[in-house]
Formats: sequence, C-alpha cells, structure tokens
Amino acid sequence: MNDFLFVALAVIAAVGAISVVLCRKVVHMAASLIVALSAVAGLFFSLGANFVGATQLMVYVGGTVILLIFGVMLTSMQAKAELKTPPIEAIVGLASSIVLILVCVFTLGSVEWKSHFEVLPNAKQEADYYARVRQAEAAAIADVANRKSEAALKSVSDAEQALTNTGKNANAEVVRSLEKDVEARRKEADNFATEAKQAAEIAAAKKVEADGRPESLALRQSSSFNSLALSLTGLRTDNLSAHSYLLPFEIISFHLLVVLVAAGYLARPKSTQQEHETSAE
Amino acid sequence: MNPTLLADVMADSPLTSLLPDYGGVTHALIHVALLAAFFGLPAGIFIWAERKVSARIQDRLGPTRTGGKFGWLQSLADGIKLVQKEDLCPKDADGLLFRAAPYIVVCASLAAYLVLPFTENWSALGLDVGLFFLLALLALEVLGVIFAGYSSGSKWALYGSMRESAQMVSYEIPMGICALVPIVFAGSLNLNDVVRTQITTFADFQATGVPPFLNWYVFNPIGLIAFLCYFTCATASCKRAPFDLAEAESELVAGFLTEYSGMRWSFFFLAEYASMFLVSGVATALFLGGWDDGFGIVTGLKSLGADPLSVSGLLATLLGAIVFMSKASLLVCVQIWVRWTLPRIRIDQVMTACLKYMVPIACTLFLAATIYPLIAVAATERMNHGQGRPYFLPTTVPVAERIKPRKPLLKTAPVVVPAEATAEGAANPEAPEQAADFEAK
Repeated sequence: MNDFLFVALAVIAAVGAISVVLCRKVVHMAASLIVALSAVAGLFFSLGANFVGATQLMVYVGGTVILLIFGVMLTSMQAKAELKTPPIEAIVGLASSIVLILVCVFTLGSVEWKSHFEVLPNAKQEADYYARVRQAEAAAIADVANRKSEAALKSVSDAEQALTNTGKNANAEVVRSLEKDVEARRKEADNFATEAKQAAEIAAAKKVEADGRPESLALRQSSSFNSLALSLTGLRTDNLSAHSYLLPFEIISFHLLVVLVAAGYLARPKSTQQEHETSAE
Repeated sequence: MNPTLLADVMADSPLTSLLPDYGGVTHALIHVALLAAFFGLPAGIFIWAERKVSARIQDRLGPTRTGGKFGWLQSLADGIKLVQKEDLCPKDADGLLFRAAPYIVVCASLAAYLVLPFTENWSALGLDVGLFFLLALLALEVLGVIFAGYSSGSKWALYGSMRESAQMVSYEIPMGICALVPIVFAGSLNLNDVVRTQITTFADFQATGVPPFLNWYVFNPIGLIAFLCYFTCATASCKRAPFDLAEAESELVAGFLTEYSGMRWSFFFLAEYASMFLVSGVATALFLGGWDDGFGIVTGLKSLGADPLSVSGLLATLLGAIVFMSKASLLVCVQIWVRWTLPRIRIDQVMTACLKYMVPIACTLFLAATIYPLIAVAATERMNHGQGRPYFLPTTVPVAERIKPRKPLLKTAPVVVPAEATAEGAANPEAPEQAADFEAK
C-alpha cells in the first residue's frame, strides 16, 4: 500500500514538475507547480512527517505559489502571457538536465540506504538492543523521579524555614496555615520519595538485565532518513571524522536566493526602453 | 518508509476495533466515505436555513411549497435544477482551469474536514498538527478562486477574483493568530486535545462549585476577544457578507462566479457553505468546548462505560456529536443572521479592517495569551499561600495530566529473548516472551 502511494505521488510530482517546464501559458505553469508541490506534501505525509507536510502546503502552495500567481498577473504585459522557447535554448537545457540527472543518480547510488529494521538482522541482536534501550529509558525515568523528590524535599525545608521564621510574633491563624502547608508538602515529598525508590529499583533491574548482553552495533547506526538529516546539519553518523554536508547545503540555499532575486529582476517591467525609442523618433 | 506509521496516524476512531484493516486502506476509505457523505449535508441544510432566516429577517416567509409547509426539500429541488442545466464554458475561457477550479475549492474544503473532532476520538485523522493542517488547506481554497476568475476570460471575473483572493489571503493571517490563542492555552495543535483541556466533569463541579462550562476558553477574557476576532476573520475568509464585495451584483456582476452556471456554480456554493460549517466547527472546538455540553452529561455517560462500544459509551459519543454539530450550526446561523443584518463594506474598508485593525488586535491577543498564565499563576500563588482558586485560568488541572497519553508512533516488533545471550549465538531463538514492556511506556 505504501509502495503504491509512494509511486503514485512520485509520478504526480514528476509529471507536474515536467509540465511546469513544458507548458505554454504561465498560469498553467503555476497550476502544474501546485500539483507538484502538493504531491511532495503528500509524500511527506506518507512518511509520517505531518508537520513538514502541513508546512509544505502552507508555505509553498498557500504562500509561494499564490505570490507567484499574483506577480504573474500583475506584471504580465498581455492578458495571457505565453512563453516560447527558441530551439537552441531547448538543446542546452536538455543537455544540462541530462548532466544533472546523471549527477543525482550517481550520488544516490553512492549512499548506503539502511532502514532501521535491517540494521538488526537477527533476533538476538534485536533483543540486546531493546534491552539497552529499556535500560536507558528506566535510567532516565529514575533520574527524573530523583530530581522531583529532591525538589519536594527542598520545598519542605523551605516551608519549615518559613515556619520557624514567624515563630516569635505568632498570629495563630498564620501559624496554623503554615503548619498545614508544611504537612501537605511533607506528604507530597513522601509520595515522590516512594516513586523515586520504585523507579530506582526498576532501573537497577533493567541494568542487571542489560549488563550481561554485548553492546549491539545497532546503537551507533540509525535509519538513513535520520542520518541524512543529521549530516545536512553537521554530524556524519557513518564516518565521524568526515565533514558534514552543511557547507554545500548553505551554498545551495544562497544560490536559490540569488536565483529568486535574478528572476525578480528579469521580470521587471521594461517600459523605459520603449519610452526612449518613441521619444527618439 | 515505515509501513506502520501510516496506519497509526489514520487509526484514530472506534471503528478500528470493529473492522479489520487491510493495508491501512480500509479504515481510511471508510472515514473518507463517511466524510464525503456528510460533506453535502451542511450545504443543503444551511442553504435552506439561510433562505428561511433571511426571509424572516426581511418579514416574509421564504420557501413554503416544496416538501410541505416549511419547504424542506427546497435545497434538493435547487440541486436537481442545477444538475440538469447546460454545461457552459465560454469561448475565451481557459478550458482546463475553468473546469478544474470548482473542484480545487471543494477538495480543499473536504480535506479540511479530516481533522474536525466530532466527538472524543472521532476525527478522521487524529493529527498532532491538526489546526496547522487545517489552516494550510484553507490557503488552498484561495487558489481555486484565483483560477476561477483568471480562467473565465472576462474582466469582471478577473477583478472580482483578484479582490476576493486578496481579501481571503489577508484575513488568513489574523484568523490563524487568533486560532493560536486557545492552542497556547491548551498546549497542543491537536484539536482533540484542545477540546479535552476544556472539559471538566460533574465531580469537579461538585468539588469546586464551578460549572464545567466556565472552563471553555470563550469565558476567559482573552479567549472571548479572540473568539470574536476569529469569528469575524473566518467570516471574511469564507467570502461571506458583510465581506462579500466580490460577489455583489451591483459591484462586479458576480465576481469570480460570473461565467459559472449550473453544477459548477453549485460546487462553489457547496464549498462555501461547507467552509462556513468548517470554520464554525473549528470555532466550537477551539473556544466553545467542542463536544462537551456544559454540565457534565457527556463526561458522566463516558465515565459509566469506559469501553466506547458499550451502550453508555455509544450514547456519550452520539450525544457529543449532536452537541458539537448543534454548536457549529448555531454559529453558522449567527453568520447567516449577520449577513442579512449588516450592510456590505467596500473593498478598501475590508483591507483596512484586516491590516490595520485585525492584525494588531490578533498579535496583542497572542502576546497576552502567552503572558497571561504566568501572571495568573503568580497571582494565585500569592493568594492564601497557593490555596486560592485561580480565577479566569482555563482549568486548574495541569496540562500533562489532562491530555491522554498517545499511542507510540512506532509499533515495535515483538522482542525475541533467547535463553542464552552468548556471543556465539544461541542456535534457535525461543518464542517471544514479553513484548508488552517496551510498548507500555
């Protein structure tokens, strides 16, 4: 089912993207771009990245494309702008796109795509891995419970301090309410202390269970999706001493900005040239 | 791609326990079929309601012939009439886009229904980013309007659609910011969670003497202003009067709808009335407590039977859905009432109201919503050494305890624990002993 969904969405995205280039009318290009970007949003949703998918819809489809359409309709010279590509440009475009496709294919082929579940090939490694995961979880819970009980004890001592501070000029009601406060805090601290003890016991048990097992390699490898994201932002998980892809990522973003600015410049109204011609005549 | 993620996101209603799921498709199809069947009902009912309410406001009767004394079947008759009309497409029109535009609007509106919480856990998709997804889809409706106007090949349509889309796009900003105010109070973008944080039970009422409906965000001073602001912006975003300049006959013939007739025209109106119900439904979920009646009846019924398929569970579900739809319908009737009471405002007044008034108000409300709990909690702690009741706070229960724990996204495989965990490897792994441990967290 997921394969079918992926293939369908990818085909729609590809067809939309190609028709952006091949359409004659600018508004058709915008419509195809909407189709392509929505299909990419669908791909994000099918991967379970709901927030990214919704952001893609909101920012690209609901923002960028609307901006594009407004810009087209407010700056185009004729009622329906058409673009015809001269043949030499078509050949150069074709050649550069073939080069780009080859680069993409070779890059994709050189990455080791490992999914999370392939990394644990047999059941024993899986058991070791999950035992360690459970130990880490139990340790974290015990840590939180410890901190809570420490904070509760601190609040008890604070309240007792407040009680002793007002011991001299005793307004009976205030003293009573403070004592009640101390009682309540003590009870809470007791609860937290028992929780912390239980959590510590569980953590110790899990640690005993996990200590006998060999450390599985799985802990150092993660799914390809995560490693790609991490390597874009600074950490290579396959080869820790190699450089990340952060610099190329930044260069690409900068390049995109330059391209957008250039597109805006190219789309400016060119009325000054015509005015000069008419005035020269 | 993880095959379990899709099923986990989509399986968020009691249907999943009743029916088997084949490849994640069956449940999704049932949810979509139910929604698609429901989608036309608000349009039909509210078109009739509009005609009757507007008639009464104008001191006349409205439809009284089709289907008996009250003209119940008027919408059906209108639909039949529209279906059998000629399918026109102007010569100058851009054929593909002209025909596609109504469907874009309808699809965006229908897709946004996926995250409406009709009652506890009865939303087709229990997305954790539900509101964000909804706002993104409302942005898609603008594209349908733009294409409709541009591809009609008529200058009235083009001007109308430009104005209309500028208005819709502008009003999305304060609408989104005002919708964020209850999100800030609740702490989650999931509409189910937002409703749950507004619900307190009858037992709480007996303990503290505060009726449960006072916990709805509309009774919070910031929530009240945010509700009014959101409702106004949502009405404008639906192209509803008094913001319907582009559809006014005296202005631009019919704006972007000029060249549309027959079923295509009715699709636009289907989408408009469905959107009205949608934004009203979102307003009830965010501000008016969603499926909660204010007196603890639904929560009381639910607490009688924990299983959603027991009699009291089903009754609670049904009652919750009825309550939700009643509140949303009430808000739609308010929209209808406002339309026939207030005069239309000019396009420059529309844009001024949005950009000069609504956006600053929305931003101030958002700032106040983020600062308010800090002040209220600090003030409460100074009152009577922390024993005082925090006035005007949404609820007194901490957020983390109110929100039910969600299922873990990744279903883990059953763990096989072999008898001997040696480096050489045991020969044959045994049957799975305990898989529940890891999932219980």
